[in-house]
Amino acid sequence: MDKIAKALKSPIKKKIILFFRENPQAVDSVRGISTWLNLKSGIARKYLEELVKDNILIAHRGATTTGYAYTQDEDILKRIEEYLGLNDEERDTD
Amino acid sequence: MEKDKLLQRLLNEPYLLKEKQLFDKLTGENSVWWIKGKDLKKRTIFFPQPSCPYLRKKSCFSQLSKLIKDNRRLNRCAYNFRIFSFPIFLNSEKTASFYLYICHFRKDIPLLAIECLENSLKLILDKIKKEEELKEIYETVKPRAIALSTVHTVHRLIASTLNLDELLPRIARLCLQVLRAKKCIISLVDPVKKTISPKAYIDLDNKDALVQKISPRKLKYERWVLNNAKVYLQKDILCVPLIDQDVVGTIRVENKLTGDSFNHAEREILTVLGEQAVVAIKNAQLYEERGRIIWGSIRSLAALLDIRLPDTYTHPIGFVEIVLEIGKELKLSEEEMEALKYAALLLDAGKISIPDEILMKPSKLTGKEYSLIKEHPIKSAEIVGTIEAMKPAVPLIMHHHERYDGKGYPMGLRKGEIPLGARIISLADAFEAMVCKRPYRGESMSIEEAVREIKKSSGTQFDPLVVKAFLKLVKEERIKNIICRLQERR
Repeated sequence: MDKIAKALKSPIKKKIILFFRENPQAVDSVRGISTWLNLKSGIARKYLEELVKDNILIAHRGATTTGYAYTQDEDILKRIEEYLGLNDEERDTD
Repeated sequence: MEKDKLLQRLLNEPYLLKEKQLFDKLTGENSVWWIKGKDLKKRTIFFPQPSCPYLRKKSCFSQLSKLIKDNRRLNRCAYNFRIFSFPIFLNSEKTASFYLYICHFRKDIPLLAIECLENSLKLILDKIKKEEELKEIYETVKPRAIALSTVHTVHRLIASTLNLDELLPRIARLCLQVLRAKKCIISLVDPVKKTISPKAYIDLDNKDALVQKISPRKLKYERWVLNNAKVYLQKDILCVPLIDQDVVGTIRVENKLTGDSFNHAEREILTVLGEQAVVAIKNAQLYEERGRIIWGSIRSLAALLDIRLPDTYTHPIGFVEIVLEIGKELKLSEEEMEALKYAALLLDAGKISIPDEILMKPSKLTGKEYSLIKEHPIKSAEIVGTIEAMKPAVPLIMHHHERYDGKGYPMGLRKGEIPLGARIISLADAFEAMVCKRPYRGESMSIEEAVREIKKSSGTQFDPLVVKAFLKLVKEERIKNIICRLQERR
């Protein structure tokens, strides 16, 4: 299973991916994202960093904060859409 | 609130189900609840699933229509069951959008029970409407709050560096991120030449894109923005001016990831980013200018000391370069590197308090003479510490003769007690003394001999971490060239 499919299997990672998919222009800190998604900041940080490693998110690192943002890699974006479309179809046929 | 949304909420409302259970318990009946409206002729929604065997029959519907027509709350159906209707109004409409019917009662329903139910239903409906209103407000406010949070995060990210070489690519990356574009060029105006030149360039389709490769001829949009002090917006190109009293530069973004054209909202967003960027750029430029002024003052002080006795109270630039290379290898911060640079040039300034005959004495020093020599780091720190910008360099100067094993001077500090910068300078100072010939000393060592000595003293005189970084660097050709320049100078 590739990294994107694996990430989408995790409910928290999926929640984060869907947030950035809905707000692709957002650049936000751990604090901001944990507020929008109602997550504890420690958990948000862990999953955000894992998504950065998977190249699904980009980390803009500064001296005092890190801004997390959605990938701009067109191939990854396309694959996320494909997986999410597939999930929707699976759900519809349930 | 839309009709369908309200209907959906009613059907999913747990309090409505509870209300039905309570009402059935009170009346001892097994009532059937369902919702129907004028425009819902073909869509009768039951709540919960119907148990009345007559419900789908035409006569039942005709009775309901009559009930609505007569605007009555209570009626009997064709099968002699009692029906109660509750109108549901959307917002402030005069006619009910649909009705909640409660039927299948065999006995008459007490009026008090109906009134209680009516009140409860009103409360549930109000609750749903309030929740929906709040949801709508939240959905309107949330994207704006996220945008505001993005502006705040971008501000923090670009305000956290004063290094222009780091700042400009960072701004370009953030502009691409926020605008979801593929290409960004940041250009700045040369205040003297009054020309505009590209300073940062990122192209997502070309990872090897270099700002140096952008021809000035390709900056036609930038020149237009510079001349007109206005935003340029045309399909897939958006270029905004960076304004600080006058236009000091531009940010140009190109080609949205989606292939769409840039719109006016994006024009406003890039303008806001440009306003933030110009403040950060100005701060970085001022910081660079401040650094140049301080370095110039320190160089002037060193030049004055060199007039008195050349290369005795100061160290040559080559030495400073070696110190900085070790600092870079050990990944020191910008502030630490600056302190290291200042300390490396003037670490022996305090020797000016020592008589020349002691400094130049080729034979062994007496105990008193050596005590005087040992005071020079303190004297250097006193001289340099009078300059505010040199304050971070003071501990490095003060402790550059400490040894890793604690046998050094002036305080006999050991290991981590000695500032890392001082440990770096200590090694570089000893290496320079070994490889460079001095008038009061015998022949100098070769680089290889000096390296062997440094290795031998790792863990005693020198910090093994610094030795490791130095040994890696000394093999590099550019470091060898710096050492050769130092040797020739001496």
